[in-house]
Amino acid sequence: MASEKKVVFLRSSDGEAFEVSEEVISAASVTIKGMIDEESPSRADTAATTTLAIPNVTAATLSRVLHYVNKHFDAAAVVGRPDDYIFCAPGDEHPLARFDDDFVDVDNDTLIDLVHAAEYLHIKKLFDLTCKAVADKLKGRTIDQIRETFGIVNDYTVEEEVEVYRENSWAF
Amino acid sequence: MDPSGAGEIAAAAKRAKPPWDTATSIAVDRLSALPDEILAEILLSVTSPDAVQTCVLSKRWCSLWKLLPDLHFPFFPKPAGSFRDALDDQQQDLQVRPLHLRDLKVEGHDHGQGDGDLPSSIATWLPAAARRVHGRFTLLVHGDPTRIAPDEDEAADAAVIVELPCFEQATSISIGLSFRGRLAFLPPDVAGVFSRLTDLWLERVQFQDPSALGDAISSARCPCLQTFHVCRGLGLEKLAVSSTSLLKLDLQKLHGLLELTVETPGLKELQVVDCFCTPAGETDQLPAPVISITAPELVALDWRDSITQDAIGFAHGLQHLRSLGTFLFFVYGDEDADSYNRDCVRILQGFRSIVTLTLILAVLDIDDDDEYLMEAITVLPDLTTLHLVIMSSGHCFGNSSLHVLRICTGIRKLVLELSSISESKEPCPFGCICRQQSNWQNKELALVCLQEIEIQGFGPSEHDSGFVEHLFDRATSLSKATIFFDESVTEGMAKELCWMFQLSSKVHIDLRYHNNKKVL
Repeated sequence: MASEKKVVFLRSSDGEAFEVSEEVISAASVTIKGMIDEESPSRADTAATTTLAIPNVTAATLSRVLHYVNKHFDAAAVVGRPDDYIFCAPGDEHPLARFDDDFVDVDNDTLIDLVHAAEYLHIKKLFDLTCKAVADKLKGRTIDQIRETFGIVNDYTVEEEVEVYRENSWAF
Repeated sequence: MDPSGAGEIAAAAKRAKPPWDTATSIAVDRLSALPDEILAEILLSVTSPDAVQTCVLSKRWCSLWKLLPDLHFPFFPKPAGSFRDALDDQQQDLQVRPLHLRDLKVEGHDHGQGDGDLPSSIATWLPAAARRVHGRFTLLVHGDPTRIAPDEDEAADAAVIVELPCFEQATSISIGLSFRGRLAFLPPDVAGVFSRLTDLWLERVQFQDPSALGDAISSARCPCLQTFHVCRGLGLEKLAVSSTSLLKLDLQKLHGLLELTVETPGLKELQVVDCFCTPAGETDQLPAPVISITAPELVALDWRDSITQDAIGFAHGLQHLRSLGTFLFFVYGDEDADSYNRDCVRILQGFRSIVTLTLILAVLDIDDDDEYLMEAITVLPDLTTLHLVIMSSGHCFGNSSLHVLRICTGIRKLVLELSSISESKEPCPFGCICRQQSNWQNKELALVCLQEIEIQGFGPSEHDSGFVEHLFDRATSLSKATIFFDESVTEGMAKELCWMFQLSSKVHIDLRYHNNKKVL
């Protein structure tokens, strides 16, 4: 059955092509599903495999994204009990929670590339996951630590900073 | 990321500062370069105070928190004036799209005198919240939950009036003030209409005007209100509700309420708990309340309060009632308790058939000269589901529960809620009269129609196990069973009980801890 599955190729911004199951990527990415749907009338005539250009995502990021997509959206790849995976009770640990944790345990640049890619490809689960991972890096850090972590340059003058602080002192 | 991507460069050029510096290898701020919407999404995952605090990071971050649709502050913002300005400022700052708050929640602990200005501080920012909220609004002052009236510390600020401004766009409002200040409703001519409000929830509130609440929630002011809940409202002598939209009305512990008028043609559920009865510990008899309720479509009535002639008349006139709950039935007691029980029975006798009945049996403090009062219940309406609540302070309840079950042998579902009142799980003294009634196991019981049993609050006591085992033994057509243990049941105990039940019962019993987690 697996051999009959249609595949598409995704070409990264730096020209590398990645093969992925059409069914899986359509379930994962709203953007790519849209591209495939647009292409499909012309594809019906030819046996050629479709290659879609993903101009905003580099090979390094795209390969990570596809790793995530194959893990989360390919029902056949979900190891063990697929029913449990789908009907996971709230409070139960998500079977892929460990995978997700490891997946976003990367440096800031890689993480922000993933945020961009998830947003562009419209993969909501991945977008939520990566945004949350960025938020986790903000949590429990002082303003100075956050600036240092992300290289944020404080462009306020001293007076301005005092004023901003004063205006928002109710939240501190 | 591809630095040569044309799109990226164009996007970056729009910003005052390029997001990265290709000439040097200095760490570049790619976080700040993300679009507003993505940064807002990220800030939604940190606490609201942390999100606001990012405003001092750099100019880029100055107003980002203002894009958040949900704000939750686990303290009372101070100074209140700045918080008000921040709430009001949000719309002016952003020209792109009008920004509404989907969910604003402010809650904090009541520090008594130390927070002497709490009510006035709330009054300062509340109008700004009313302008901004287009969804849910929650304001909670957490105080001592056991307190049922303001104490002396609060007497000083009791005079501070917190006016409830018009939340024109809010769909849900929850306010719990822990009796700080007095909640006032504006007079109808200046107040405006809560045009989208569907849910209103008030707890521990002192009302400024003894009769304004009724006007405030009636159709003229709240045309869409569907659910109204008020618990522990002080200073409410009269409540007159006239609403065509109201579906659910929940009035609890409104001590001092003397007059209740409800005109709700569409009301489906009504709950009245401890509003008219004399509070425990007080001996002065309250004057008889005047109750007038018109709710012809009522489906569920939970009346845990004084059973007056008015109440009985109203209940018996209900044509569509499917679910009925009544006040405590005292299993043991003196003449007063017996006379009270008989009123309870009179309500029940008005119904020949009903789908669900909730009956609360109280086996609490037993005096030596108390009588066994269960014989007063001789007949019950035809039922499909019986929800039997046992409030026991360590006494045996087998006999009284069995008395009820033997009358309604046609039930298909039984929910048995075991609610232990005393702190200790100690059984009652050996000579207690409840023990004279311990021959229940020999009495006949046939629950031939019973298909489903759900037991809540099952503890490790002897009474609980003995009675529940007996039930399973007599329910011959059982197909579904669930037992929820109480907090005191540990994993080890649960597993042991599991064994015991699986051995004695023919059906599989779904066993769960009190937090709904399955016992594996």
